[in-house]
Amino acid sequence: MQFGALLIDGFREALDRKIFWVLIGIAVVVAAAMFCVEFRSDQVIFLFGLHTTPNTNWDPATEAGRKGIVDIGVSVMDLILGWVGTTLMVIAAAGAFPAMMEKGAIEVVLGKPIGRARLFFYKYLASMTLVALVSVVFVGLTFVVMGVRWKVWMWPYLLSVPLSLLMFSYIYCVTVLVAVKTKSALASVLLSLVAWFVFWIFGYLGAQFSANPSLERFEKWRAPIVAASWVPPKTLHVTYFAQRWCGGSKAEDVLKMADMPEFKSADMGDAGNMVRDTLLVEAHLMRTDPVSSIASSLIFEAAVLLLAAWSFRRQDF
Amino acid sequence: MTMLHTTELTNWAVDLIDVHKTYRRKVKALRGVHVQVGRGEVFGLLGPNGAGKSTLVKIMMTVVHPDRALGTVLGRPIGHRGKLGRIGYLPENHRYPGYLRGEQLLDFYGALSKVPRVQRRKNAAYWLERVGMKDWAGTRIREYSKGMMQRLGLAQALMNDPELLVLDEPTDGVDPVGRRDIRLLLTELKGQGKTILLNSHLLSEIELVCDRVAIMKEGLVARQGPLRDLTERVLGYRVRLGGERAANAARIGSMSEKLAAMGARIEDHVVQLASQEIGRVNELIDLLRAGGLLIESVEPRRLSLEEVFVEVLGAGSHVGAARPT
Ligand SMILES: Nc1ncnc2c1ncn2[C@@H]1O[C@H](COP(=O)(O)OP(=O)(O)OP(=O)(O)O)[C@@H](O)[C@H]1O
Ligand SMILES: [Mg+2]
Repeated sequence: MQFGALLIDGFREALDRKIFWVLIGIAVVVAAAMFCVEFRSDQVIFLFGLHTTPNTNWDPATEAGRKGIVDIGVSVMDLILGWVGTTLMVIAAAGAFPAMMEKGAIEVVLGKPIGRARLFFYKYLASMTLVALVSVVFVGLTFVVMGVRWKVWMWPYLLSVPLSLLMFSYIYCVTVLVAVKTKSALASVLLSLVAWFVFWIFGYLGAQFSANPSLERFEKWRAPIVAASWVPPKTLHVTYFAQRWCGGSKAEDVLKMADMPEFKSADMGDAGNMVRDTLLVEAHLMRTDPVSSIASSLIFEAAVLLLAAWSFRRQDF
Repeated sequence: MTMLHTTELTNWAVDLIDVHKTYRRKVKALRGVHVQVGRGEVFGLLGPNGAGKSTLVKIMMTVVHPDRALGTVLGRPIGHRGKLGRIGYLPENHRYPGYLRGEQLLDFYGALSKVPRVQRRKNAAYWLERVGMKDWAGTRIREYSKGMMQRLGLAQALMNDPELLVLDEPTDGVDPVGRRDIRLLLTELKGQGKTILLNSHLLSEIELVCDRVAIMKEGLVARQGPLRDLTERVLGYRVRLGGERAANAARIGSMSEKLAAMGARIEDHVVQLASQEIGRVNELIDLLRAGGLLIESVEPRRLSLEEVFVEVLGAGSHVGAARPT
């Protein structure tokens, strides 16, 4: 009953926030924009005939063309899994804790027969549910448009919902921690973006040191850096999982590409090496084990949340 | 140290023993407070700004963690989950989420208090009516005035049909008629056997509703007891004269020296005696009668709560907690 009440309250709060409607609006606009594109075997038609171009890559009738359309789907997924979607979601959810902890509001809630830790986690779950709602609307609309309009029912695309929640939760745990400490939505958004950048650097360095042959000179740094890169949430990995599960390009293809003699030929010089190194790192990321990546990230997330809950428990209001 | 084992059998609804609280910035808000509130009693907590009244209440409601606090609330240790569900709480300066409508707010807090849904609906309608907010039930709270918020807050505190009602300045911002309504409501609730702990700066109001009061000062209870006992002490007497004014004036004039010697002051038709001794009053009466004056009435002049308050606090400023010297 208490969770239900907090959930409903969370919904009412969200409906009252402009950012929530902005997010829903964005979902509708993106879906509508996709709806304005039609793939015919011979041409791509924009805006119901206002503009047409010859169709070379996205013929829904052919296997290759369908793959091309799937790639478009994957890039739409990147939109929600990437920094745009996640940032907007963090902004949308960031106000939940500061609003609950506002002076004059928190006293009443704490005076109710609900433990602080429980209150904390219920509130956390309630704000997650809201983000899930936005994600479902976005993914649902674009999924249906791709199916109806582009004739590609891309079922793995629906994984965007849990994946976007996962990605969001990687960042949101920091948002909550800062919110509990500072009671400021703005500070919590800013600091979680900073934290995200730090996570990204960890992930980036970890991937480079794991797979980039030109870093072999720094052998003694390798183990500690790779180990350290497993500590924070692996935000870098999420889009690769999406890509893999949706049937986008595969690590083997990338490795094959890296092996192409062009990159080794003398006339490409250093540039060839750099491209090849990049491809190797890319292939490494594509082959990351989802279970250990997600599990270790969730452990970090849980630790941060426990810290936040602990801080929430011992505060005076 | 041996813990006192307390049971439901305690007579006190609230029995706070040796409550200490120092806020992080070294503000000693409470320095060993003892407060006892009997069951079915209306108890007033008074004191200047910053005396620690709200802090004490917040400790009872688990909003603030005490450094040390013994005793019980409704027979259980402070913060007992089940008992929190039996308390209604109206914090000071409460701010309810503006996006909720009046009835939604009551439903939300009712659910947090674990009141079943059907009961919630019934209670919400009833209390909205009782606090005079029925017509505003469907309006968003952000459109409420301060006094309306306060009325809704009171309804909120009553949603779980509490045994103990803890109200931190419930009449703050409420208009005079509303204040009277609240006072009558409190009296009625007391009649139903509920215990009420009340913080207020409006001494006249406290005087009207409270059975017992505690006056806090700089984190300590300076005085505590039945209101009647506190204001019982006689400060002096007022002797009202009857008869004709001009004649009285002449008679008094002739005995003015004697009157002055007794410490009596004459104001118009009233002779005031600052002495608390009944013998002195009778001497005064004898004197006045001997002088041919008619006495209409003799009244003891008792302390008003305000005077008790001022007396307890002594001179000087008392805002804030005790400062380290
Ligand atoms: N959250 C807090 N952090 C630090 N100090 C606090 C906090 N809350 C209260 N205080 C301090 O504790 C002391 C007691 O405050 P409290 O709010 O209990 O007073 P009060 O008696 O309710 O006053 P008022 O009549 O103004 O409501 C004050 O000196 C105040 O400055
Ligand atoms: Mg106060």
